Amino acid sequence: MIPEVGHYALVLAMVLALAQGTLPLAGAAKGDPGLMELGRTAALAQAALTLLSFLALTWAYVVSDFSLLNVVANSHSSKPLLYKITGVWGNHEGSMLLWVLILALFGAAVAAFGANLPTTLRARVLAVQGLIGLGFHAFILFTSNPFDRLDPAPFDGNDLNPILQDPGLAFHPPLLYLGYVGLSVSFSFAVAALIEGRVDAAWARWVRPWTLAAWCFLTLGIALGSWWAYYELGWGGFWFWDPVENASLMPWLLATALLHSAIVTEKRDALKSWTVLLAILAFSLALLGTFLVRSGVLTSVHAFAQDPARGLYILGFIVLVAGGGLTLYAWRAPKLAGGGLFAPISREGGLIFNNLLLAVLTVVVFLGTLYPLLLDALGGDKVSVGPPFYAATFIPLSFPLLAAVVFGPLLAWKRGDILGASRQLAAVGAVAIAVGVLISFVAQRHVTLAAIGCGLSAWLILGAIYELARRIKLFEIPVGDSLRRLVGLPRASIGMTIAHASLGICTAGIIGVSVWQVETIALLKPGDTLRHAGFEVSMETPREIDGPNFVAERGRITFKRDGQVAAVLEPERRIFKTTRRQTTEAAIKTTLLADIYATLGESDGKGGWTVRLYHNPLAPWIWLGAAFCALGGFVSLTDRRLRVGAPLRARRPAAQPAE
Amino acid sequence: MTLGVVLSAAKDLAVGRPHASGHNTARSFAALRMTLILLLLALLAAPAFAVEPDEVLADKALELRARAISAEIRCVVCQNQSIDDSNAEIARDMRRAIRDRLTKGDSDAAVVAFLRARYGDYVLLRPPFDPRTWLLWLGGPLLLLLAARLLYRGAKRRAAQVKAPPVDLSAAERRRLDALLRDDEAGRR
Amino acid sequence: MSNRWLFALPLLMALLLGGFFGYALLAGRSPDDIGSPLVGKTAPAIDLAPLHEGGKRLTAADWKGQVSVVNFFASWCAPCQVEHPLLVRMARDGLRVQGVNYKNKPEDAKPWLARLGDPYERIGVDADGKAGVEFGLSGVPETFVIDKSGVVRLHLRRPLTPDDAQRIRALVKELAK
Repeated sequence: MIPEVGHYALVLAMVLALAQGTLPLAGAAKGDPGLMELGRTAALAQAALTLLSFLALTWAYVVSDFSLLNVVANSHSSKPLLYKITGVWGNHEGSMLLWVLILALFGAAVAAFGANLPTTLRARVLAVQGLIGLGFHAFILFTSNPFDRLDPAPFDGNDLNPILQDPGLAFHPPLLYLGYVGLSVSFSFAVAALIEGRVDAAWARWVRPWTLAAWCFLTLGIALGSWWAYYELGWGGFWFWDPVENASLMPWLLATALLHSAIVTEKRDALKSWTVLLAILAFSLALLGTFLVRSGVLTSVHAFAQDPARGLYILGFIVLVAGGGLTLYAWRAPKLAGGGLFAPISREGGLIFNNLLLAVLTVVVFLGTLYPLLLDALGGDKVSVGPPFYAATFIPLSFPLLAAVVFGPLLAWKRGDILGASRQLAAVGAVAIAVGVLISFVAQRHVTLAAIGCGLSAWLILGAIYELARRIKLFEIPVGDSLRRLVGLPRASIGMTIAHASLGICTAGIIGVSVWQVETIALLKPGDTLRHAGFEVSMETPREIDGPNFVAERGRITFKRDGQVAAVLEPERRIFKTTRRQTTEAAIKTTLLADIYATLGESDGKGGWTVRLYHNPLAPWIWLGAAFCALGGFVSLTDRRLRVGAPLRARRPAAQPAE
Repeated sequence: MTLGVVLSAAKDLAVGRPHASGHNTARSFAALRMTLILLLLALLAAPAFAVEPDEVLADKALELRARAISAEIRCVVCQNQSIDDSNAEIARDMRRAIRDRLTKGDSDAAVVAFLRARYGDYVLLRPPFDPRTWLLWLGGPLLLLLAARLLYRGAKRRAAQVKAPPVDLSAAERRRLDALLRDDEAGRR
Repeated sequence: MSNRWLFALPLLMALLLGGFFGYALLAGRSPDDIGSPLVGKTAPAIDLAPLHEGGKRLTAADWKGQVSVVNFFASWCAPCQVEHPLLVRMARDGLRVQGVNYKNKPEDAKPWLARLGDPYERIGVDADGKAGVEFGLSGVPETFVIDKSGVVRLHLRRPLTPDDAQRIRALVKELAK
């Protein structure tokens, strides 16, 4: 019964999406406020119905309703409750439902919080959201219905793939989807603005919070996925330049570019058509990611759905969405007059430099991801593009971008003074160079990378601190006054400082692991001791553990330094009862300066176990940096200027001590 | 990996190997997915780790070279993994072949050439630089140069331009925008 | 604006890409297909001990002068069992079929062959998979056709289908001329 309610709600939601996608457009064209208002009602109702549908499916998972095909295929009655719930989106159909739910929620958020938007713009934004939603609703209902019944219902299910039964991976998809789907709002704003034929400062201000929110979630989603790979895959790597990872990196790069170009559009009324293009492309790339993951064109067993019909549907839909947006762009964008003039060396110029490099980096990833497919289709040549390619292209191209980050905020709008900025940054630069030189003597391998990376890291962190100190006139005026200034600083600028500094933290983490990782692969017998990264390592005989839906072998590995216990790690090797699949559960002890990392392998049958031990200096900084990066975004988001309702309400005078 | 692995999950139950990147001993043939025997055998036969202790060469320098080469060779039955990262049987065999040849005195280039002759360009994670891949290798940098040139010319043209009023806004819009920007200035200080 | 076409460029690229993906999807290419670079090259020099006592060694020298079908197999490999009857039929029809017993214990392989029939003119033992790497193997079963001058002419990275068997027969006939 409940699944039928969910199914029915989903059908109704699709009908509402159709209404939301068409009526407000007509209303905006004819100037009919009634029709335009319908968009809001439809958006809210569509979100409510989609939520109902999603809850119905979740219910089926929680109570293990094995009359649903989807539940049978992806759940098991003995699974812990958490993974029964997360199992809802651990499969193609359910994840599409989550996707469309988030899409509907974003639409509802625009309807609810967009009171200050011009009526026609809001109507058009909601209509575009509705049309995108319609496409996904239809996709789910016609090709990937999670509510399909199975008769007779089996006694128990096939269980969820064990690697998905992990907290990190359970919440990776929802965050990623919040990011991908959040970009749909930027897209809708862009398309609506093209229909209106107007992009102005106010438009840019409305777009920014949505993009920023999407970008924060995307950052977190990517970081969580990377963190999961780090502790679950068991060889201490954290980024593999896999096509599916790249599919999430590309929208992130473009969203980052969009965040920055929208600032120029807002403050200086320039870069309009470029900002609009970025908004369209960022969401198109997010859709492309979905396509690549689900169609099987790149990697066959990677995808949820290798059904060519589904692949073709998504492809057709992307062509419609991206093609529609870009057609409007080709038609309307030439009429978007560029605004404010500025010298090449200026804040605007800096932001353009940022956009240029981010765009080039996106193109590098794009080419790398699709080139094997391209060559194969053209002549049947098989090539692979892997980490060494990106190390030779992406990494060096990102250096100038990171170097420029510190300069940007010091340049004035319209006409900046690069010499003045350089002089201000002389001390920071000197320290950064000293760090680089020092590191070049210390590093054992990848010396150039280590020196440049560490230098850049110091440059970014100190540069951000310097910029903040300058803003609050630290040591120029009494410290108390400085602190008062700090509190009075707009949140957006604090957020920027955090995000920019976080790049340095992240860079340090990446360099730390790449350059100073120590790996020991050994056969370890209980009672024996081995040397690893300055530790004496010993292990007790692994014990058998009986988990809820798995059995495991759990080792107990002790790391001692100078006789003192530094860490006791308990890595596991699990075998899941239903699927007979194994997973390795790495054990990690982090000291914020380094990770001590161990995984347990198989017994050699003669009393020894294979162990893989890693010492990963600065590894936690990778995710710490990413978390700070997202935090910076969230802090900016609380800036009242970016708050969606701000422009109207904030007109109260003296809200901030002006000077 | 990451999301990809998630996604592989649902489908490759039949492929059945630990890390879910779908590397099993024998290749998984679609027609025989259901073959339980194969699955069980794959489970029993495959080691849990990529590089195993018994593979490691005593000669440290040689071992380092072997690892470096392995990291650039793609596993032929996995999802975009190097043989250094893969626990597939065939990856293990290829790692052994690399160590054998290095021990016999082959140069790094010769070892890579040996594998390339047998498995094709597919196994090179660093694609060779030749006319087929010019676009791949040079696409990004070329775009950078092209865009930089375009921007430079645009900047020169703009510098020559006289300052024009930005956009034609209605009086009411102009007022609102002014209010916004005023508020903005206040907020920035 | 003079460069109006610039604004249409993203659209053109997107459409091009869309068409390309559609083609890639419909052409049914497999991203797992790694190709067969050995085709057209002299078969790798191997020298394998025989599986059966008193059998002949499998060496590269055998391939000179006669067209050979070389099949990598193992008793633990289920697809091998599926394709096996096709090989038996080929051998019965006079094709020279040779086997490489891949990572298989002889005591497992022998009863397997006794049960399913032994089509192989000779069988080399590749206990540790070295010959497999020499031949660019990615799994079992895989089948090669080697011509009279010892050059690889066909490499199938999959269990044989009846169609494949037809193709091999035709090729062997052609090469034998």
